[in-house]
Amino acid sequence: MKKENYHKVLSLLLSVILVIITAGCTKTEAPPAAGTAMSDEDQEEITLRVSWWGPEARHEATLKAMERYMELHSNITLVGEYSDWNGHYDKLVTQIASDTAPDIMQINDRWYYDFMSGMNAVVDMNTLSDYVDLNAFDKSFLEDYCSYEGKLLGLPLGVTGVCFLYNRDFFAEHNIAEDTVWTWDNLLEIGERVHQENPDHYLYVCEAGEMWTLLKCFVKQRIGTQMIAEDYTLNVAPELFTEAFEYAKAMVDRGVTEPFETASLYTDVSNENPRWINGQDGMQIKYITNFSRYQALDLNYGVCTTPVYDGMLDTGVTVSTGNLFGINSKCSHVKEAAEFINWFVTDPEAIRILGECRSTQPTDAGRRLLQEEGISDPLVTEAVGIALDNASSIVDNGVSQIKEFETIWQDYIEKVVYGQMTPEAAGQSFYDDMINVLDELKSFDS
Amino acid sequence: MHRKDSKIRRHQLWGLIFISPWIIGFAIFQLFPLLDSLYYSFTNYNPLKGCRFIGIDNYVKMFCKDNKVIPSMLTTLLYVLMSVPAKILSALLIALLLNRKIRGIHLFRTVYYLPSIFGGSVAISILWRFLFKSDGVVNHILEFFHIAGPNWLGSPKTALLTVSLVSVWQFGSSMVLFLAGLKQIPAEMYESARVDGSTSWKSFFKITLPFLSPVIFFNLLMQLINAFQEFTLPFVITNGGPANATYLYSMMIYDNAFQYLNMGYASAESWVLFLIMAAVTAVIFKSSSVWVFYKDGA
Repeated sequence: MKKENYHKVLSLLLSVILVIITAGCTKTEAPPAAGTAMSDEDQEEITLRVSWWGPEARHEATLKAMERYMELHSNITLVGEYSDWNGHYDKLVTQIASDTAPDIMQINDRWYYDFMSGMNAVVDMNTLSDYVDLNAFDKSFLEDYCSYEGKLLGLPLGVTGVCFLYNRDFFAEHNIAEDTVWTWDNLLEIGERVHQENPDHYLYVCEAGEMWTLLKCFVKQRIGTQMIAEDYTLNVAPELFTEAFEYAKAMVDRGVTEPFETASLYTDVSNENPRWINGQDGMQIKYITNFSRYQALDLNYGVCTTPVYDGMLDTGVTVSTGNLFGINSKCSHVKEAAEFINWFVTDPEAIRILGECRSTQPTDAGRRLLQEEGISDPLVTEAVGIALDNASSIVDNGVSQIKEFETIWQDYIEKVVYGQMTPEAAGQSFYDDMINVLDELKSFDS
Repeated sequence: MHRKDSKIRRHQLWGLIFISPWIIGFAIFQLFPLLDSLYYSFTNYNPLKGCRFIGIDNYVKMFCKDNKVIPSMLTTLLYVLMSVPAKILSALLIALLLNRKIRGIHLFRTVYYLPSIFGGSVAISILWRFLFKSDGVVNHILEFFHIAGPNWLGSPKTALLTVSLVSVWQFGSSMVLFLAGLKQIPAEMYESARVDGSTSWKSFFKITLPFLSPVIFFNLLMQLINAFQEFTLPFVITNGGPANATYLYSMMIYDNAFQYLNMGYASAESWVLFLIMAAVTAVIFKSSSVWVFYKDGA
């Protein structure tokens, strides 16, 4: 073969390969997108993507419930997209922004502002009363904890709240009465005594995130109103932030809480902290939704409410649904998605399968059913009861739940605890930072 | 003449056709997002709220209002200064060892390259976290030698150093390049030097290093660029803590983009990082005429 011909043949061959590769990369027939349907002789085949986060027990129970639903509804295919809490928000927000979000989304009650202040990321469930039984829920609970500006963002998957989870054996060892009414003062006093009795023991354990949960309670008790008003005014003076930081520092300096150096290695997974597992730490603040992680450990648990003080303006105890199942506003099969969610939270069979994998059941009927059948966990039931009895009268508004408020606060907690800043400097600096953030938000939203 | 020109043009056309998949990919997946992010850097773009042009406000905020920017820049710089030289020195050292004629050398070369295949994956980062926990494997080994190990990841004093050390294990690609460079050095050079009475050290500094300088130059640039953009290791191992001791610049960009949804601001931060990296690269290129030697004298 002549050299010129050889080149021509080679070029032709490469071009053909290129065309084949390009054709291979091109979708000739796009598969049905999430939530889109294909015609069938009898029923429309529907695929719904369902996303949630949580521990393994929750994944297993949710998948089992979804399987059961698919058995009952042969035309529905449910595809689970689940992960751990870490990174779930980032992923979901990116999906929403790029129109690739799942049809049904587990939403945290701290995301309402982000999801609804700019665009309506989820369907208002009030408009779906033909498909969901809203009467199964406490009306005020739906309004207070599941709605944003009158829109019902989803159906609650549980009732949760914040409380202290303690190791009863640890309390017995240090002669701490289980019916102790915790105040901010006796928490420090008893904690200091415990550490003096046994330098290897700490009454309390937390990292920056859990310290923030505790200090939020501290601040709310003193202001008795929203931390950030609807008009973006910060209702907390720098002096109060300083006081909160001083308290955090005292907890560390007086040996009340395990040093952050070790506790921070178990952020979000303090159930894996060997000191907690070995019974060297006695108590921590917890959302009840996370109890299942702790109950896998062989420890003897008790629950009680968070600290109080005489003259407080509010209990500061957070109660919430924890999680909702909302429907993506871009979902093509809203009716079917709503029917699935309704089954998931109200059907006795689903309730039996799910149990308390998302804290106690959100409906009276669901809670009764689990109790009657002995499925409910007494610790979870007790904890929810304590949280509800002491619930704050202030349900955090959307703007009080912005992510920056939480993370900047935690940054300053760390700076104070690690001795990089004084509580006074941190209080003022945090206040100034928040003013900047709120000014920006205000200018954006106005 | 005319025929020759048209033949060249035809060749060029074919060349362009064959390279077009890359050009199209580059334009869509790199050039367009790059320019798009430049535009967004002058806006307050929030993916769930929208976008408004705000001029240079994001850049002003970075340097006048945001008290996280400068500390995270300094942390990143420290990380670069610790990890890049350590990685290059490790790669060079291992390459020198693997350049010897010993039994099983191919196996060793493969094994030493393995970390680069695993790379900075999340799974490996989690493994590092377990190794360096206060009660982790590393401290247990030190305990065996009666050494009280520090709280590697829990203390702000040691966390960045630990993350930098951990990054060193991905020296495989640099090592392979060094190895290739070492193979290019004519053996006669060393023989002549030996005949002239040169010691091994002297040969290393007078022959090996000058011959390897183009490879060192390339590795230095690539490692610097990678280190400035490091994300996975600190994100997974320490999540920027404790007390922001490992809060690298890339993590701040990530937080602003995906946690606070300030995509416009995150874009501005990305462009500043890009400019810093471009400036550092330019300085190294400029200095290369002094310390990089090419065989052909170029």
